[in-house]
Amino acid sequence: MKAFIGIDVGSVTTKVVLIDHAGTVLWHSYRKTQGQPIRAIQSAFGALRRDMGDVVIQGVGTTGSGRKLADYVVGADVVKNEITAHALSAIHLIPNVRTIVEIGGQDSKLILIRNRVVTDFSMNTVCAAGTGSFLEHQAVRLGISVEELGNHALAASSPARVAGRCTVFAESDMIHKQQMGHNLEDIVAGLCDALVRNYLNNLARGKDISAPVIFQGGVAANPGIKAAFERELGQEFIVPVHYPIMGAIGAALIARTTKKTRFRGWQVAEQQLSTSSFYCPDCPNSCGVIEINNRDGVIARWGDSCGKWGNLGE
Amino acid sequence: MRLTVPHMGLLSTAYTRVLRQHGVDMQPPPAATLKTLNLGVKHSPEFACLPFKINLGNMIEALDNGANAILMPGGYGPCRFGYYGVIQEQILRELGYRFRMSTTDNPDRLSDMIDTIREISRIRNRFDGYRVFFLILMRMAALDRATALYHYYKPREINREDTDTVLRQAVRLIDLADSYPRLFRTMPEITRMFRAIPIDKALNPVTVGVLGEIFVVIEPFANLAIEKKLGEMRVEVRRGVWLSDWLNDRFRFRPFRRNQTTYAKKLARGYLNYPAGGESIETVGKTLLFQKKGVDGVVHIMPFTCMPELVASTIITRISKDRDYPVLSLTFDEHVSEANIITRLEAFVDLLERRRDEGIYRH
Repeated sequence: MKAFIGIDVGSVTTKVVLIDHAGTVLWHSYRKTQGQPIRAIQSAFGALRRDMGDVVIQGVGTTGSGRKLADYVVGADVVKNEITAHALSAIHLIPNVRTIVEIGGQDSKLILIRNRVVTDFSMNTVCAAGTGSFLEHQAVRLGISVEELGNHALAASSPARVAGRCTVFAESDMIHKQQMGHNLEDIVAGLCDALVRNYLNNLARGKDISAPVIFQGGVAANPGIKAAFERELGQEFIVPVHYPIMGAIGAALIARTTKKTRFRGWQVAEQQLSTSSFYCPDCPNSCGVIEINNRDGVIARWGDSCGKWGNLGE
Repeated sequence: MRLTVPHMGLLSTAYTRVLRQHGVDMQPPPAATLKTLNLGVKHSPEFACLPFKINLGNMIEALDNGANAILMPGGYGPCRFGYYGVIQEQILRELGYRFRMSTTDNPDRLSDMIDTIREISRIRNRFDGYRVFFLILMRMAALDRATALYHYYKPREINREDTDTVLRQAVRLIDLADSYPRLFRTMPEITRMFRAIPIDKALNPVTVGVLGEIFVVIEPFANLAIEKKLGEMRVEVRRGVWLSDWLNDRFRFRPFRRNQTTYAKKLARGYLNYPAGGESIETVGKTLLFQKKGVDGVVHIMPFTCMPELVASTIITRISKDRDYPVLSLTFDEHVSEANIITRLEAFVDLLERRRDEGIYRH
């Protein structure tokens, strides 16, 4: 059987999917990166081999903030930015989609699509309020798990108004609301409203959000956020079945055009890889150069702004 | 007197050698690095723009290297830049540096520039002053010409970094061309060097207009080498603002090149009828021009807290909507995240490529 792999190495989670040529998801894995992207990729590949070892890999695509690293680890055919990857998987699922709202671990995106082409996009630049990391942090503080957050929000009767411009102020405002005596449900619902307002103010200003709207990324798991969006915009937000792995699916879809794959084979799960870094002493820029080593020595370097280290590694 | 002038793109290459030959003891600041930026940021008001901070860093490094006089372009300016010299002087004095500071009073007036040259160099004769000043201007135009060739060849190069090497060689040759005849002989040589780069002739790259505040547009250190990044993504850059154009609009040394400010004003009519400072009118006018000429999209770059470009950015968002034309605005300061910039540039280039393909299929 022939199949394609998509890898999305995000800030918080690493997603690996296997699809067939029609784009059907055959296998997927979703695990925490925990600051060790290479290990996360390798353990996902170990599991993939155990479960689906007899498939023939015809192409590999990587995306996410760790897309370059993933390329060096497995040998990718396409390395794509996450905006394009998310757009392609959403278009594949709902061909007439017009808006994609994507909220992940540390960044959020708004992508507008007309006639199957991305026409505009925005991405959070300065503030991570409203992303998964922040929600997780607040859930821990409130003593509930991030998965329960949404259901608590849905149970609220009158959501508290929480300041949402900045994560630090949101947190202190939530503490204040707790001390005022608001109950947990109302505070959680207020938090969801605040995050939605923050998203709309930062990313959606002046942009035409029209249906169908797809809501994807890890935060789409939270029905409280979905409900808050729908209340605020008066539009239905469609959460696809594979909402957390849409980026990886997009990367795999792009890899379908591969003629001859550069995939290094299943041994990538076992290869000995280590990373190290040093500061280049040659000029005051002091670029932090990253090296990836296998047993034979350095296989890749990047991080320098002048190109002298990066070029040696190729 | 050891004179230093803050960097602005390749400008220092245009004047340093020529002025040295006329007795000016030049001490150009070292090329900007992270150290320059950190020094600048440390001693600047937080909401001053990136050009202010890099300039100040340049000055501190040059003074530490032995310079004792600073020449700052300014006087009145098209934006806050006009009074930067005054504030930088005060900051440097409070830091304990001893130096002479001069600011050009009226950078638009030729006689003022000639007076400045006669003041700092051995040149006494007014005619010689003109001759030297116009040689500097021609050298600047040559540097811009080499950069434009770079924009054309970079996306097409087969071996990575070839074009960058040639550009460095070209800049070196222009630097050495210290007389009119040498400069005229150098230009065909530079064109030949670029032509010799092995290129992918079949490639029909996406084109992107680069517009915005002039300092961040022409200074790769300030914009994270955005033109090189675009070139590596196989995009042909069409830069809309050039230092030599800015100079030519004031000093008319290229009689056959039209006045770009007046031209931009004419183009911008209807969207922006009065210059709003900085390069706002150029940004608006040239966005409309690029759209008309079939350039695939515009990347608009500006320093954080730049008022004129913020005005322009709002207007070009409107143009983008009215004419269904892709525009990406990027803001730069010391906190900019390179990963974020790269992701947005890549997504923008994908968008342009897809739009182009759709257009081809439709026709």
